[in-house]
Amino acid sequence: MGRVITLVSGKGGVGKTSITANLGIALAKRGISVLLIDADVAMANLSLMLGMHSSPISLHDVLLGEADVEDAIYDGPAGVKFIPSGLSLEGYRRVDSERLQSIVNSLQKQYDFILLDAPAGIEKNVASAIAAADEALLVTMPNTLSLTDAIKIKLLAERLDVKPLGIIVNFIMGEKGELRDYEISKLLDELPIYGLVPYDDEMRRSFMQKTPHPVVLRKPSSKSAVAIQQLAAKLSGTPISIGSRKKERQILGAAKPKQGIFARIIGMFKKGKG
Amino acid sequence: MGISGVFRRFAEVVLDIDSTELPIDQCRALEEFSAKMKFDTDTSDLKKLMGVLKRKHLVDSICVAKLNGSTIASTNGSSSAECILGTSMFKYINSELPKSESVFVKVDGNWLMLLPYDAKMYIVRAPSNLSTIELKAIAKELERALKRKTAKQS
Repeated sequence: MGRVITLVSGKGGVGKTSITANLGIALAKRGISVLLIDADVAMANLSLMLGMHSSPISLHDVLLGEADVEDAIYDGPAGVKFIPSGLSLEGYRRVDSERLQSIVNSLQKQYDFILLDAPAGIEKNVASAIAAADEALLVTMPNTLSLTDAIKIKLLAERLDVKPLGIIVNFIMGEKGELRDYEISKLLDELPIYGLVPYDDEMRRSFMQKTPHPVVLRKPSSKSAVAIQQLAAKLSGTPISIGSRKKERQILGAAKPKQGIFARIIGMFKKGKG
Repeated sequence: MGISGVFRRFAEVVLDIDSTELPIDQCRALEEFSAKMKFDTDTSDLKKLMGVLKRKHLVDSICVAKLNGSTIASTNGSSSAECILGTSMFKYINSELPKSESVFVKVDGNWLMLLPYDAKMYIVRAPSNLSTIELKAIAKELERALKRKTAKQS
């Protein structure tokens, strides 16, 4: 049986969909069979992030019982499989998202990983996306606004008897006002930090191409792509084979507590040399 | 690195020019909120578990009945009446609308929710309507506890 993991945040705009798309591809690049499901039945955009435009049969049709789930599975980049959600508002109104769990269960044996991109918020569709999984990864930004929503989502996952696996901190810029990883973990009841993804212009640019290409494919050595590949390595339990240890340290350094002035001067020259 | 790059780096790294600050009061408030939301459901006492579930899911009462209306467990004082009402109401609706999965009734601003699960009826009252998924989660947790209790007794 494969692992079913929902990526969920509560707050919108924290980069949940980008991380789901890139994480799925990073896992697939390691030879792991991955199915991505756009569980955001109201505001679907995972297919656009994967650079796919045409998907005549979607999750909406499957949830309505009007199509077979196998017909809604498409080939994505790097061998990843993908079930898009429909874009129509009428379809959204008619779907019963609570059927998602049985659909996921029927596919669990065929894949090593099923990743669900959950909607933002805390309403029924979010609960359906969480309940369809065995584990949940909370995506948050290092600020109190998104952390407040992440706390509520963690509580919702616990209510639905789904294990919160850990936290992915996205858009780390290393500013003084940002919450550090250990503070985020403490506020989420010592939930482990699963991944630290720095802010990276390359991630943003990946979706501004004629045909969008997720950053792990377009710029695999960029800061965010390296962090996501580290996350994939951790999830799959396979060693990381990209970048250098120096790059790894640079990324993780973004979440370290502030240093003293002398350490910063020495650090500046060290960084200058690299 | 050019000369302007060196100055920029000096300003950022050494002089630490960064006008942001950690909102400590907000962090404290979040810490307090988090601390209040811990629920230990790992208890062998069914009554205690139901009390915890009531707080965890923010509901007013939970009753578990057999499908004939007899009470198995309850968090309120009117359990017999509640269990008979819940099971008979569900049976009536199911006879009119076969394959009904759950029943939600809004009564005087509050919700009465009926969910049959594993040959039992779960009757939940709450100020807001829960999703069927959350009702099932309550049923599953209670089901596990009931099975543990039965196994212990036998």
